[in-house]
Amino acid sequence: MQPLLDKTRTAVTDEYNDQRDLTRLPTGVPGLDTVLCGGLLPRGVYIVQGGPGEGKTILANQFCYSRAAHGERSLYVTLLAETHHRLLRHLKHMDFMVDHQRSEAVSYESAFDTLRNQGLEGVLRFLMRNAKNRKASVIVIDGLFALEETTESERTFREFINDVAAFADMSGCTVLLLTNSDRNGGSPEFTMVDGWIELGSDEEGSRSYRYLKVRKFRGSGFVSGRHVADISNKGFHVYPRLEAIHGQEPAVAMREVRVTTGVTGLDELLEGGLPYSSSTAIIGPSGVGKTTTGLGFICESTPEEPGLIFGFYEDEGRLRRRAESLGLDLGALFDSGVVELLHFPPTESLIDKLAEQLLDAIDRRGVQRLFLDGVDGFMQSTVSPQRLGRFFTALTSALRTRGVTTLFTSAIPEIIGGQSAITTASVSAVAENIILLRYAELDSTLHRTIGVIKMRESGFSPHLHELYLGRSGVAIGEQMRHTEGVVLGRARRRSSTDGQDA
Amino acid sequence: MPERDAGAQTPLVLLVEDERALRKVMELVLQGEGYDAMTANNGREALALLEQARPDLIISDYVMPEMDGGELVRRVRADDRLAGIPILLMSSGFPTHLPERDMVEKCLEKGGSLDVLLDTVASLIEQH
Repeated sequence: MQPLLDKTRTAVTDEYNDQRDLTRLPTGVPGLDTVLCGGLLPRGVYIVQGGPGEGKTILANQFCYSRAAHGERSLYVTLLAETHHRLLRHLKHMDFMVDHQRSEAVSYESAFDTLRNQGLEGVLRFLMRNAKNRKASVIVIDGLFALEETTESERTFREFINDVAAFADMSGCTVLLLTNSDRNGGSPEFTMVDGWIELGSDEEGSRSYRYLKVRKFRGSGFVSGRHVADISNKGFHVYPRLEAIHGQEPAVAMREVRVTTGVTGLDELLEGGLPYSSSTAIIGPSGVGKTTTGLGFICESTPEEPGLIFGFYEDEGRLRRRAESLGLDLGALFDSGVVELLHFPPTESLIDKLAEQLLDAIDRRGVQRLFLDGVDGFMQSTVSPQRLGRFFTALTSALRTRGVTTLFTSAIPEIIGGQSAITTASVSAVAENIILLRYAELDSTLHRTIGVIKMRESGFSPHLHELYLGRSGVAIGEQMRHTEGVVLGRARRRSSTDGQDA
Repeated sequence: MPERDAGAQTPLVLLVEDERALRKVMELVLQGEGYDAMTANNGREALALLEQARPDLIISDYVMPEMDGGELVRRVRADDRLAGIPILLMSSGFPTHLPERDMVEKCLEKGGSLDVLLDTVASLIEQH
């Protein structure tokens, strides 16, 4: 017998282009690819599990239409009685569908009757036939639980999952199995598939939040644990836990560059200004001048060193007015785009979403100066207060890596006295520099004071000074030579014969 | 060995694969392409089926229990009654040196393109 094909090749197989390489399939779901270390693996079978309304259908369609953008086709098979008309009616306003309203990129088919009349083997034939006819590279089976309920035995169901996996591997299709079953991880389907993504929601007090959790991803690492998520007209969006994806960045080499604070006299107390790419906390009670000091800092922004104000409590109008009263031309910086404001009322925000928006804004404009006004807003946005320390460590690491010099404010509750100035906030632990603003009551008059508490890798003035706010801006006043107890919030004259500061 | 009905138009493929799911899916795929398929778990079962019908193509896995694909190939090629039946050998990992390489028409890695596989099947049957 003559060989039909040339066998002069040195390798055994006739096909060298093994297509089972580990090329990732980006999902088109923001944040999910980060959690999946790049996306799904082709030819895999993945269970997407979640109760009604958790976003399984949206996430799966988002994946299909994302693949459509790469020229691929999808077969979306529902095993439910729900009509495609109803399914699509709820999806058609999603942004990811807008460009595909009339395309054939995603074919919707019902296998409801096939399952009822021909059982699992009929469904398997249905999948193969339609995947081939549609030239699909993605198959979604919506309603896996319907199969569970229909099969006469666990073994039959298990074999079906196995058959689907074999077909995926043979055909090159990637398969998503959507289920709202609450079967546990010991059930055979979870052990047989390549990946298992759980969608859920939980409550913290009266607040509800969505989350996504990858329970299994064969052949790949993934960012474990819960990641908060939301659903909007843009679709499903995952916000990976900041501390799980940041914090491991290589340390940036220290630069001797100092960044001016914009507050007259403060640079001298800091021996030249804020160290480049450092994080500085300004701690003090309400009204003492934290935001004002930050505005002085941000108004030093230039087109070469753009600035960003990320705040929770004051909108643009209020900030413009406040800066104007100090003689700072923040309005012009806003108008020219040198400084941008991102304002988020801290009511129902998600802490990881805020962090993503912050870092996106920094990357988008190459921000060099960041004024984070009211870091407490982050604390109000978390559903897991115990992770705040790790979160801020990761955030400051991400900022440092980007070369951003950050000034953030943190409020202490006591106007006068109290212990908060000393023990305040986990954020202080991650701040490389701490500046304390306090009121000092002397002779029935409130005076603003400023002192540097901590400067990492730099000397600083140990003296307290008076702080002035006025039409000429923010300025450091005289050193408080004759007053003590200011830091503790119990200011008093040292002695009647010792002169006086204010 | 009984010959198939001379009037039979549908090509017959003997599929030898020990993995149940792959065997089943491949059988369904072949049927979907318009072929008749008979299946065996290993080489020994395949030889028994070859006593009953002469296929137009043998597709065999290489690594199997009881009798592997290599032994099956050698037995088939040693049997004059089976002369001329093309063989497509498949595996997820062939050895570097495959003694049976020149005794078969084609070797394919499993998990490649399904289109390539079906084109190969059609080509081998057509040239048979």
